[in-house]
Amino acid sequence: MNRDAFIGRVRQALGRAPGDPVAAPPQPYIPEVPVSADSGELVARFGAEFEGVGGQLHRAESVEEAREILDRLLREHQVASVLITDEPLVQVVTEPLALKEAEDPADADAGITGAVCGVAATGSLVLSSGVGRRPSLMPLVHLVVLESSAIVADLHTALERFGGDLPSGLVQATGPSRTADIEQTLTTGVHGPGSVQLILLG
Amino acid sequence: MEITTSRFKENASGALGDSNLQAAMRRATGSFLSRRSAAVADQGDFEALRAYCGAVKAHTLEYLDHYLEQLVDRVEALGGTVHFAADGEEAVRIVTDLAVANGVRTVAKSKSMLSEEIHLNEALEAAGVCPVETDLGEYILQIDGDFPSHIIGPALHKTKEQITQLFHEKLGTAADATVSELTAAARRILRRSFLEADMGVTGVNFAVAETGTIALVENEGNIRFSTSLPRIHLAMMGIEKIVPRMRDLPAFLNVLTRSATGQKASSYISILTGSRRAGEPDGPEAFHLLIVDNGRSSVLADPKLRDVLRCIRCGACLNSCPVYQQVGGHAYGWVYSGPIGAVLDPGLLGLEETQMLPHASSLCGACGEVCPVKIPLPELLVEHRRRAVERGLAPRTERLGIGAYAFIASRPILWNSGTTGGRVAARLLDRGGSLKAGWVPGLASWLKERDFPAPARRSFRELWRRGLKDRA
Ligand code: SF4
Repeated sequence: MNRDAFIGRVRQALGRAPGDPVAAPPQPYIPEVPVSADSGELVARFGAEFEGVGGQLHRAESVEEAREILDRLLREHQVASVLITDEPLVQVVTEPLALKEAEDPADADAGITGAVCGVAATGSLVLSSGVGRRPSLMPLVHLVVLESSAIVADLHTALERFGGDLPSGLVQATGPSRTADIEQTLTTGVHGPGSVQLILLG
Repeated sequence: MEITTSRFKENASGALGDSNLQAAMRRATGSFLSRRSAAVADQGDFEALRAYCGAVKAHTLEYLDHYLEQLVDRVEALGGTVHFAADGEEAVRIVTDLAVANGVRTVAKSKSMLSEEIHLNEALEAAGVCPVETDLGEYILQIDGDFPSHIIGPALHKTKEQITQLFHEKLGTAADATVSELTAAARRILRRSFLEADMGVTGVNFAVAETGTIALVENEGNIRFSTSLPRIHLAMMGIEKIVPRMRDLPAFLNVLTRSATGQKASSYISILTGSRRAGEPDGPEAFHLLIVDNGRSSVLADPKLRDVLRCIRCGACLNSCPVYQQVGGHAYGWVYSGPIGAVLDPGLLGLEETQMLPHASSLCGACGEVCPVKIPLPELLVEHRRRAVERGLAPRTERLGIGAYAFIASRPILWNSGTTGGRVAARLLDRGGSLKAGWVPGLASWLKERDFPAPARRSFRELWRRGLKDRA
């Protein structure tokens, strides 16, 4: 069916005519987030929520410390090859480690990325397709490096940051990939990463 | 799936005799319900959010032509292609033609009730294209040749033993595999499909008119794969999936995930705006949006039923429904089951085929209380029943019953003698607090499918007359 006929049918169902006026939608209502804009509180709430959904949080005071933590995590997870995004912070932290990048993304053991921001209300990470979708999706282990100043209260605030200019794919990721499709038994790592490790800097 | 809505009675009595199913249903709905309550309590202003989401949906439906125009303009401005299908047949033709024209051999499919509604998989297979369901629950059903029984947990009617046996036979996993071994096997197999697929097909949870964005909610990551790796992404939606503004989205995501699985946020919420941009390292080259009517505009035209199109498919009304809890989703005979199925199916399929469904309810009101967009489900159930009687579709006994009820209820003398007589009769049938009528023709079949508590020995009217003094 063509567009005009299709939408025309809907219009007719509503008893409306082309160009009929449209009332204003209800005033936007943003869910309350019981957390102040104070950065200490934001980080504390984020940390609690992030760990509550099964993420593992590591705090680092400096880039060097972040690098040490990353190095340790890679060894703990027996990571042979990685996918790395070309975000500045990720590059600074990973460069001296001279990690082996996977030739085929399907073979990588871990993905190392940054995030647009962290969402305190739900302990989520906002990931953008601008740096690539695969590194945070395909490997079983997802390692994230993020400045603590990039934590915002809620998804609404995170979306506002983009103004009207959204990337093609924005993902709010909250904890590891999970399923409860077999008898409500929670299992992680069904398609996406089974382990999400966040190194929070500062 | 074959439509068997007219055989609800037969389907339901089969379900009531299946102890595996009963155990699975009890476990699943109970766990959904308790997690939902906790998540709702955690969001202090949940009632305000429900009211808001209900109002936004009501507004959007009232001006749906306008919001459809806006959405289509935005998607096209972003370089996407929009297709329109008047019915299911046209919808599957559009998808299969697109697949064939692009040389697509494998389609990675993510859970979409709409695709079940229009029988997409059968049509793709007939066209030589292989559709692979990638949601774990849907995958289990696909390899078993079975159908979803719940909007959120499509395979929740199956026990772990049944799934272990199925995987053992079809995929060669161990006969005593654990849940995580079964999941790992599915991960391995489906990963190959994602890498092979040329096209990802998904549903749409919300489409934002002002930006041309679609939002998809999931826990597993299969939607992220389906929308990231294949070179074509096709998303299909019913006309009712629109919200006006980006600012509306967080509220809807909030009530959806809390109502559906009791999570504050699902693991992954994909907010997709067009296809891969210049400078982005990966992502689909082409984005297609398929908008499907398939009976919805006639529901929209019916002011009494229009509210049913607010539904965001959270499944909370199913979990809260005592009838659904007992009989499961298959008994309803079509993709949408439980209270939402009982009000939506008659709208989409016609009351002739479906008039049993609005009776699959005790009118306890639980569904209306949990619905995150405040659809007045109990009232709509009654409305369908009323129409069925009016159009002479209801079973003869019920038509007579309702006629007689109206006659008697409007005449106090008859009413009083009737209720007294009823109580005397009921005492004769009382077996340990519930009525059994194996020997009364007509009543026996009605009571077979129902637990009917024996009535109080004195009516409220009687007690009231006596000043509630004697409360025996
Ligand atoms: S009718 Fe309401 S409760 Fe039922 S699935 Fe739809 S949104 Fe959820």
